[in-house]
Amino acid sequence: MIVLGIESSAHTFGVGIVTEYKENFILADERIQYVPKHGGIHPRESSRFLAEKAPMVIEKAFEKASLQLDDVNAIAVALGPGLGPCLRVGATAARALASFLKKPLVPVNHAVAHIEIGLKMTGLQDPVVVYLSGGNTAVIAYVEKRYRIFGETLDIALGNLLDTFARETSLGPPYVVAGMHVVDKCAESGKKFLDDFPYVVKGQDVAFSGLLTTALRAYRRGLDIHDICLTMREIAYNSVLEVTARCLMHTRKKEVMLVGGVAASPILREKFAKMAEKYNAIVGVVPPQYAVDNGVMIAWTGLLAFKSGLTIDLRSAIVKQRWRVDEVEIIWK
Amino acid sequence: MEVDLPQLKKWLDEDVVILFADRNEKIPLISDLKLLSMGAEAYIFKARFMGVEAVVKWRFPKNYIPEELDEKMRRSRTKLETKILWKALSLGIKVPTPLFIDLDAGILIMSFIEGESLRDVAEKIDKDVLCQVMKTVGSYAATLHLNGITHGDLTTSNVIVAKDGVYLIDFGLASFTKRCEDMAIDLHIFFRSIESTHYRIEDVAKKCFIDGYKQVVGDSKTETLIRAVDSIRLRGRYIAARKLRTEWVG
Repeated sequence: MIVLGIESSAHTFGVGIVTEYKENFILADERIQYVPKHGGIHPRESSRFLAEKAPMVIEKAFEKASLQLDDVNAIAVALGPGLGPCLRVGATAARALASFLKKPLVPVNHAVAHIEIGLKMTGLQDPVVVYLSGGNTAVIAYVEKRYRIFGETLDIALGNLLDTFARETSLGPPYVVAGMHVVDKCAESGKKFLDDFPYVVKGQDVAFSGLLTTALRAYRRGLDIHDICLTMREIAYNSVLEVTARCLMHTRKKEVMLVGGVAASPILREKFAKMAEKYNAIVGVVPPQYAVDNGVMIAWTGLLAFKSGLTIDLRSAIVKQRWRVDEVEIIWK
Repeated sequence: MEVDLPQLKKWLDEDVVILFADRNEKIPLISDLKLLSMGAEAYIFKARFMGVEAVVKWRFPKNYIPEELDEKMRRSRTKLETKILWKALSLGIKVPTPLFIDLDAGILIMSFIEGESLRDVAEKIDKDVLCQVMKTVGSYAATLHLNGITHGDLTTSNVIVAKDGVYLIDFGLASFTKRCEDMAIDLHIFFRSIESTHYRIEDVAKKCFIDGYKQVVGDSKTETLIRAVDSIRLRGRYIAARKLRTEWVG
């Protein structure tokens, strides 16, 4: 069985083609990323860029896989969550393909896809999933047919905190240089911890907006930026670690999986490894290439869903900007 | 679980002399240390403290947090937790009694409560009993809130059903506050712990909790709080019920 997956939830248009093989299951993995000249992702600009590049990326994927259009058994598409205009580009392309090729269309939740490709790549069985990216900070665990959210951010995401701070203090963009976030880099020469930075953990939830405000205020007051980076980063990372530890104890699971763009941070990884050791758990990190948005994860999750009989009528295949991971019933488990 | 016991033992390696009417007896400050569980930030031991059954909570040093920050946090949390336990006791809420603290080491010793965690028994016990337990938890929460305290981690794991009543434990994230928002978060966390682990008994559990809460603070205050809980829930990621920006107009 061969499934093609399309991802376009934010700044990446990705097309993946996968099969059921245990090894080398990826037949094609093509993607193109929108990089804003300044500021964050503007949904309209991003979607325009994605729409322009979409046909080319799809064509390239078929070329790489040496497949004919008709060789795929199903088309999978990320219908949400994400930026509306961007999601619509992928959805339109997928509906067009499915309709033209007369192939079934499979709806995929972007967040579920991140988890599923992570499981496939790390080989973990039943981990506590720590999903850290520019738009998400959540600690998730599989319980009875759903990936349930045990803790999440009540305001901004961890990646958002780091990126916004970097942007406001002219440390970035680019936010990641040589595999390291500029805030991590800046924190290296931090010497002391500043007082009164808020550490917010509420039960299993975290919140970062107060921390961002405090950090920016400290920067404007002229405090040493390295100290600010260090304090902010440690507080932010450690609150996520604490929530993860809490979830490990609560669910009694023995694995931790890091997924999402921020999971690529070597410093965060090291902290997680040390923490997990304390709890006799093992840590799996999704390789950076598949931790960020890509088409392969959509194709792979689509394949799992399709094998369990999930398809969607073309007419009802509309995007859902808001579609929580815990709303999806995991029928293939 | 790998526990660095020597370090803890060093802190507590003392003898105490107990004076009886007819004799003096020298006993170790602490003995029979046995690991009960490991929380997100502390080890919980059962032990004999000056001859009585006790729980030792040790906020262990974490090698993944810079030492300076770690120490500061362990110290302040241990101190705050103890203060709040005393306050809760004075309000007539059943909580462990603090017996001993060592702020430098991050150790808090408190009385041991014999019972079962609500997390383990919630789905086994009779519906009426469950309702009574939930009511009590609700009234405890309300009493704490009335007095400007939030528990901070109100989940079914932190409720102990004992022979002599219902106990609240683990005030590790508790804080003094006056904000309605913080109180609402207590409820939000408690409801979510029910929804994620005990969804089979969700309705009874929530209803009885709210009934208990109402008994202490009254209907209108409770309803205001529940509205605050709803608004907190809408802040999560990708909540469909939250309006899209395009829907704000008109």
